[in-house]
Amino acid sequence: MTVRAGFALCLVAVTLVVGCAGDDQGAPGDQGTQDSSGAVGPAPVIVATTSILGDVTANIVGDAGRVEILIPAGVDPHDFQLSASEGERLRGADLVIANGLGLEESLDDVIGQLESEGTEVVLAGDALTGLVSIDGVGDPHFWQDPLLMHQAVTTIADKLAVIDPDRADGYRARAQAYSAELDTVHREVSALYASIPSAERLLVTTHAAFGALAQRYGFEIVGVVIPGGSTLASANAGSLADLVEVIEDRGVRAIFGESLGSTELAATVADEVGRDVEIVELYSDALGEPPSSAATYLGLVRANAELIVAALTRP
Amino acid sequence: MSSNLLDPFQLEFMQRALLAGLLTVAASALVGTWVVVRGLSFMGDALAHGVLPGVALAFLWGFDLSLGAALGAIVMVAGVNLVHTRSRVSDDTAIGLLFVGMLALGVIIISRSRSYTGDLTAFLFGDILAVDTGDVRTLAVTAAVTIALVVVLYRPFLVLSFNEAKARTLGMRPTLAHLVMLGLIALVVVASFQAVGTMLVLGLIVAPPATATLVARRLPAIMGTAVGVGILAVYVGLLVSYHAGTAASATISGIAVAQFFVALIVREVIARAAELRARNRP
Repeated sequence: MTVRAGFALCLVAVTLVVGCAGDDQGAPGDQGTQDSSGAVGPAPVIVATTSILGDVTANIVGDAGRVEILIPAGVDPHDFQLSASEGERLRGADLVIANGLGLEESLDDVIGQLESEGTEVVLAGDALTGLVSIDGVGDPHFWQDPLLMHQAVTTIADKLAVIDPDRADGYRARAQAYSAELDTVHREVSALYASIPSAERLLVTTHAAFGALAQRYGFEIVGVVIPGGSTLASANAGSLADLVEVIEDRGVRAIFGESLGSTELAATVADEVGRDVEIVELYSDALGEPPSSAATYLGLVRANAELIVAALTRP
Repeated sequence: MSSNLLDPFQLEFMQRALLAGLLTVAASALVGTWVVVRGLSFMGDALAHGVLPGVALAFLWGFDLSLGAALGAIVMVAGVNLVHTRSRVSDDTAIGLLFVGMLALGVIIISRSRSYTGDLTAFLFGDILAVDTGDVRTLAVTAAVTIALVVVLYRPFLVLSFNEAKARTLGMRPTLAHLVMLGLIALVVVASFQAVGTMLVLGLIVAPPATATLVARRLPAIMGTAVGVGILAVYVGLLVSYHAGTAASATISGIAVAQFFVALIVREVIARAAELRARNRP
């Protein structure tokens, strides 16, 4: 109710829309100046572009600084548009952590500008080895592989240690602990995926967003509903018809959609296939909203594994 | 040969897409003839895109998207009318104001909300390949209503288009006829945008009647030709999308526009040839 009333107010005051943007979603209240290591420098403010990077970074930063998330959980980073106040937040940050690899489509220019103006920026996806590439471009959805995220954690911790040397030991220690958790989750989901016979490890997804997962856990991506990595591309009749054929020929049992996108086209394809094909929504580009088990990055990796295994091993 | 032209339509989604396209074009080409004849294309464009804030609010507050779009269209028409009657700016300026204002409001609402998952691309370009049977039913009703109204209101629309002053003296209430016409454009837009996207609706409102005006003179002939040309665009567009792997809705719109230029070129060539023949005759 109050949300609605607030919304109506914002609409009435549409010319004052900047005021609407000032509600600082998800920012923790305290400044976190007290640090266990007893350092004296001011606590750094770190802005992460996506909810996934925000959660990972918060685990590295702990109570040594403040982590803000630019693109909230439940919003597609491909479609995100920056407001003036958010631009200001980015400028005021001690460190900006972005995904890179073209994920934050509308932010690429802004991030480049920030770097040239002297704001510290880490592009988490840039320093990865073993990244899958789609048509010669690195797949930005690297977080679907927790071991690639492990590399990114090291990159982020190293950068934090450079900009805030007083608390470097704390960042490194927490990064190490979190990386150990990533390795544990990797072993857990590997064991889960092992229950799928290798001939049935076939993925059909709505967008090309699960290449990293497929590579790490031995899945073959047999088809994509909308070709191209961007959510801006459109479907075409020829490739949909081919997809129907592939699903029939290979005995694919599920089409994996994304929590943020529409599954209408996936439903069209599933209808066309004579057999029962399940449509399952995975967590792709953002964390789930709090009650969901995918509200943390580790939870997201587990949730996706459980969803995929359940869909491909159902009787 | 024939298998290339018919086989793709053995797929159910292709049949639904074809049906949705044909129903959309039946309604859009008829209304579109009046749009083209009366120079209302900009208003049509504004209606097609100005409904966005209504759609976005409907999505956020969980009521029917078409209802939201209809409300958006009403605000749009009322706003244009208000500016037109209360200020001295021209009609196209009024339309431009409302068009940009509504579109901006729509984008602001979408980008401020945390739960809007329907994306702008789907609104603009739609996906004729994802049409379901419910969409086809809605389009069938719309097409029927539109055809009936265009037939019943043929006289008032005709007088409105060619002699508004005379319409007033005949007691035909041209303002009402004008509003009904805008309502019809809005109806076609609102009913079809979910199935095929606003760009395709607009393409099918403007392009086939424009092409028809190149080859036919009398209004009923223009309307018939427009529907025929539009049907061809839908069919060829889907075939090209199937065989060449191009985006379906955009291909249909593109072909509808290409038809106009092809018709224009053919007409020019024929006219030149006739001219030459006349000159060479002693």
